[in-house]
Amino acid sequence: MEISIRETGGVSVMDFTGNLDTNTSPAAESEVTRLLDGGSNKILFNFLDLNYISSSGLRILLATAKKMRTSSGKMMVCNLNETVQEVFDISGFAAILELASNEEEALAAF
Amino acid sequence: MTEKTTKSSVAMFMSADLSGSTAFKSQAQGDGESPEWLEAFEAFYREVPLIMMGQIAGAFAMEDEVPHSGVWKVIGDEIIFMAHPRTPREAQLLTIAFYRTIINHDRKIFQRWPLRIKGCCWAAQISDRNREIEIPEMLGTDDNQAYVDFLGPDVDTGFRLSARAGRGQVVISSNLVQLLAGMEEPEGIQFYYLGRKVLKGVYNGRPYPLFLMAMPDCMPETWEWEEEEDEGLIALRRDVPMESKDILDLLGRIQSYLNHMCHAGIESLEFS
Repeated sequence: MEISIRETGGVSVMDFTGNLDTNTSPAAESEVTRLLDGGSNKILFNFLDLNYISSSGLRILLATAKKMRTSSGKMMVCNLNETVQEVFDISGFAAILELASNEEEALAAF
Repeated sequence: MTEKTTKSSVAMFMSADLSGSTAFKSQAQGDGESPEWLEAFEAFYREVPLIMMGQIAGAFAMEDEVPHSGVWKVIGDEIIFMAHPRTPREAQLLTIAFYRTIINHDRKIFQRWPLRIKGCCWAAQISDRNREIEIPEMLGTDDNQAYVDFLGPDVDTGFRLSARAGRGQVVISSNLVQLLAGMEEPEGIQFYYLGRKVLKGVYNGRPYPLFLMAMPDCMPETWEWEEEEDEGLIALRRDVPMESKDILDLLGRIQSYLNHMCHAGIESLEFS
């Protein structure tokens, strides 16, 4: 998995490529922690090139959402492919997190 | 194999086990390239961890943090989750999340295949009595993430206890029952006492107090002909849950007796 981070209009956009699973979640968690420690309080998880997310990947999203809530920040997730959308539906995360169909729509909602 | 030197902590283990899978595998061969049972197993391994994470999100909705948790082992028809609760409250919420996962997925899987799910939830104090070790020889480990295993009598108890769970039920270890029954806010958790049963190698061969967990807003789906052959379902349908003070009294007496007579070293869970 690869993660690249860019700033767009005050939002830290994390672009994920590959699979966010048990093996790759620790690296993702480190990146999120680094962003939060650096003062980011608007984070967009862009899953345009993410193939799959497992329960350990969901845990990273949940932990980030809680940290953002306590710091009055905001996080969103966008560009879910069919497989990732199914994971969100089965787990109920589709109703827990704020989702957008694409990056433009997500950025407009911050 | 390296012993991790960590301060005392509580580890929780939660087992989701497919019931009826052996018969199903022999019956559901299908007529295509992939047998029907394989689809059921793939769904089980894929969906249960996702549902568990969703239930954790729901249970911890009002909390600021979620404890570290995830799939610890997959053994045959069984998925075992592990978590490190830092407080009794976290242990309570993890137990609720696991219970709801079992009951909800039991209903779901039964609608699709002749399979059921049963659960077991237990805890171990990781200190002198139970140990956490790293096993660098395990496949899948790398420089950053060693495979971690847990050894000790309270870890083993769960594996014996899980065999006592019936379809659509969650059995729970006595140390966890003691912790949860002693909490001021029970959050709807109830316990049904099924009496004491000998679990091989547990409690120095003395009978172990067997408890089922229940939540009135999330009960297992059952049928009359199942009730007649399952003492757990009979208890859930016909008995009343045990009062917390009676649970604490019973478990306190058992603990005192075994520690005095058998040097069993049974201790209540403590959070640092």
